[in-house]
Formats: sequence, structure tokens, C-alpha cells
Amino acid sequence: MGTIIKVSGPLVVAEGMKDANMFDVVRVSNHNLIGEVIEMRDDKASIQVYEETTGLGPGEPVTTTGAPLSVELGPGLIEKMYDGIQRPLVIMREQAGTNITRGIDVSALDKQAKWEFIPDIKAGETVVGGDIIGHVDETVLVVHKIMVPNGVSGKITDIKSGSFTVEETVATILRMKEKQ
Amino acid sequence: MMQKWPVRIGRPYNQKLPPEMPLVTGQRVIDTLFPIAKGGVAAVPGPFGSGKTVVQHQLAKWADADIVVYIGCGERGNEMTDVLMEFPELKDPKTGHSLMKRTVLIANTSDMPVAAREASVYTGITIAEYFRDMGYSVAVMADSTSRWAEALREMSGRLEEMPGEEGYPAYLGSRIAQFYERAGRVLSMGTIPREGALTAIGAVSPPGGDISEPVSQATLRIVKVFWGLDATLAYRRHFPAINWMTSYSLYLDALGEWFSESIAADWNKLRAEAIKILSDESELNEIVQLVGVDALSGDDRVTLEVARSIREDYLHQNAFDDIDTYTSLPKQYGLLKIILTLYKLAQQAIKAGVSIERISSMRVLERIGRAKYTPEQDSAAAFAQIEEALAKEMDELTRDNA
Repeated sequence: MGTIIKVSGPLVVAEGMKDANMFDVVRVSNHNLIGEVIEMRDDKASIQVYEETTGLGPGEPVTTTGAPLSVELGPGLIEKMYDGIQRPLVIMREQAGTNITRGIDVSALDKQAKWEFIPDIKAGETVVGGDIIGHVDETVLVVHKIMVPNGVSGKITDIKSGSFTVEETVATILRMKEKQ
Repeated sequence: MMQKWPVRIGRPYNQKLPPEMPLVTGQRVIDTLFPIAKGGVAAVPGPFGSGKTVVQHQLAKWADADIVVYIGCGERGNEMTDVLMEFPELKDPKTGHSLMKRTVLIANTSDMPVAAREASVYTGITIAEYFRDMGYSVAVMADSTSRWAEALREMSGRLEEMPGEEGYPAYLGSRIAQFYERAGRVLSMGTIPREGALTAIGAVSPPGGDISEPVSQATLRIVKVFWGLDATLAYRRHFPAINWMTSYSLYLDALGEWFSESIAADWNKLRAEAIKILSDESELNEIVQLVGVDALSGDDRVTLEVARSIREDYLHQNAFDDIDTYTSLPKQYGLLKIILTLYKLAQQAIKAGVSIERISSMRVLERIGRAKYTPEQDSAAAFAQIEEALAKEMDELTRDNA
């Protein structure tokens, strides 16, 4: 956990950031603003903050999440409108009104929505990263193919069909990590 | 079912393939004169008011991509609203469903935090790569990459980095290259590789329309298609205001085979002829400004007349007309064929001694002018009729003269 020593518009410099790495996503101040490390010098990190920094000052805490800025990829992307860091603007409005509020935490994909998963392969088959294991009819125009994440390979021990949310496991692959 | 992927790293693929199919956009000046390949990269630079955003919107609406990712990056909020209002109502010409059903929007309008603008293009292209990996043809529109570069500049300035040209960071060129290099036609990962394509089209807003500035120059080094928008054309109400003298496409050779096999054997010949007429026109115009149009030979005046027809009846396209907004390739071919037939016949008539005044007051010219508003399904029959009428009228003129 680090401390802010300088704020300059969207740029925040924090010290005590030894655990952070280049391009880590960090949470800045008590407002929980989302930022990204773009420069490291000793234990000082320069952070570009993706939200308004009005009201921030030296002394406020900065914590690193240890993960790079990532996007969530899965059924539910189509027809969505996102901001620059993949936060759905429509849901943000529902939660916080028409003006964008700071520090709001919304997930990119709807975690409640159920999608009809239709498997395209059977248990026992061997797959490598990038293989299609099944599909979801996302919209009338788009068949969303569910792929094995890159870097994962092995034998499918279990594959389900039916209605799932994006976080539920539809297939398990033996040897490496499981597939969500 | 969900995956996470860091936005700054391109998703892996098995193999990159050379582009060989065009991304059909239904925009005549683009498809005919300066086509872009599936998996290609293009830039649309232009001063403000020249219609960059309308061109981007037209491409997002009509390009024959399976998925469209539209990144509204630092531009006006109401342009994003236009997309939101229009897209759900527009129907995909192939499937008849709402265009929104294949679109993902990334919005970072000019009033939103500047740092997120830097991230927005990466977020957009990562989503596009994900769909590309499924085996789809994806098109990414970024409007505008200049605003994105300005966000880089702002962050770089606050980091107290050594500024490069015009205050942009020294790494501007490599960042722009990193973005565009993520486009391409690829074979995906997996046991059975799927072929997917990611086409990237970026708008560039050079201040004052002067493309010698760093963002335009860095972009031009990478992109292979350049649709240069021209303020004078826009001022003359010629839309899309793509200047046919400065624009270019480096995919012509790669796509030529596809066009001659899939559309018509003489497609490339017609295209070359149309370009020739247009470039002759610009040379002739210089002479006309010096000595007046009457000093030109009949042949040259035919060239001017046909060039006018290509400009007004072919290249000019009304984005707000229900029929004219999209033209299929066979219809484009038919329309261009009529105009070039007019050229051939008019040249013959001039040789036979018919005066240019009589040729330019032919009744059929008006029908050629309206031909682009013919509905898609009737166009083949209508174009055949026009061609017949053209031949007949030209024949009468020649016989009258003899």
C-alpha cells in the first residue's frame, strides 16, 4: 500500500509502491478510483487515473491489484456501450444517475444474465487453447463461440449444457486450470 | 464462460495471412476507387467539417463485417448519441436485422476523463480480437486517433518526459503502430484454426487539415489505405468528400483478382479508366483556367463532361438517402459501366463530327444522373434500359449529323 505524494490532473504519483509493477491496475484514494501504473522509479509509481481526480491530495492511500488492465470477454458484449475501461455506461447510469460518478464498481459483463450454452464437443476430447467447446446464441446475428482460454490445454473431463451465467463453469479441463 | 485478457497485449494467433478479399462498404468511392481489404488498415484524415465522422458512421453501418466495434474517442458526445439513436433502427442489408445486434460501442467523449481515452482504443481492439479469434470478420472504427494521441501527449507532459515533435511524446509513432498492427487476417489458435479478420479504420483530425503534422505522418507510415477528406469538396457539397487525387489504396493489386473473379472480368479495367478520366480532368482544368473551356478540343471536352458525370453521378453519394446510402458491388459495376459507355460513344460521336453542345444536352444524361437512386433489385433492368437509350440517342445524333 502506497501514499499519494503528488497529483497533477489525471497523473498521480505515489510512494511506497514496491509491490506494484508496470501497468498494474491500482486503486487510488478512498474514492477507490481506477488507475494504471505507467512509470516506476524506486518505490515511486506514476499512475494515470481513469477518473476525475478533483479532491485528491497527498497522503491518501493507493493499493495495487497486481493485475494488468484487462477486459472481460464473454457473452453479453454485443449491443453494449462501454467507457474507455469497459464499464457499461447504461448500468452506471442506473446505479448513479446521468452524470458519471467516481469510484463506481460495475462489472463489464452482466453476471446475472443467463445464457443458453450448447456444447459442440464431448467429454473425453483433448483440447488446446483457442479451440471452440461450444456456443451461445448471443443475438440474432451473432453466435458467440466459447473458446478454451489461451495457454490452457488438456482433456475435457466434464462438459455441461443448459443455462449459465458468464461466471459459471461449463466445462472442466484436466491437467491445467479449469475453464470457466 | 468468461475470459479475461490484458488490453495492452495482442491476443495470439497461429499465422497471419495476406489480405485478398475486400471489405465491401457500399460506398462507391471507397469500393471502386480505393478499396480496403478484410484485415486491412485505413486512415481517414481530414479537417473538421469534412465529414470524417459521417464516413466512419457509414462504414460502421454498411461494411460487410460480422462484428463492428466503434470507438468514439474524444469526439463530441452528440455524435455518439447519433450512433445510439440510429443504429437500432437501421437494418443490416444482408440479414434484415438491427445493426445494433452486431455492434459494440466504446465511448470516451471529449468531456470524459482523458486517461481513459488512452485506454479506450486498447479496450476496443482487444474486444475485436476476441471476436476475430472466433472466426469472424471484425471492423474497428476509431474516431478519432488524434484525440487519443492528444491524451498521450497530455500524460507525457505531466510525466515531464522529453517532448518530441509538436509536444507529442517520442514514442507516438510506435504506439500508433502497435494499435494498427493488431489488425490483420489471421488463422486463429486451436487444433482446427479458423480464419478471422480484423480491419482497423482510424479517423485522424489534423489541425487545420494539414497532414504534415506528427499524428497524420505516423499514421500514414503504417496504413495502406488513405482516404483523404477535402474541405473544398465538402464546401462544394460533394460527399463523401474523399479527394480522388490524393487518396490511395495499396490493396489494389491484392484485391484485383477477387474483383475480376467475383464481380466482373473488366472491373479493374473500368476502375483504371475512371481514374484516368478524373486525373485528365484535373490537368484539363488547369488549362481551362488559363485559356477558357472553348479553347479545348472536342475530345477533351468529352473528357470533362464524362468526368463531371463520374463525380456527380457516381462518386457523389447521399448518406441520408435510403437507397443511395448503400450500393452493392454489381450495382456499382453497372453504374460505372454506363458512364464509361457514355465516354466511349461520345468520343466516337465527336469523331463523326457531332458538336459537344449536342452531346452535353442529351436527354439520357438526366437518366444517368438519377440512376444511382434506382432500388437495388430493379437496378440491373433499369441500367440495361438506360444503356439502350444511350446507344439509341447517340446513334440519332450521329445520323442527324451525317
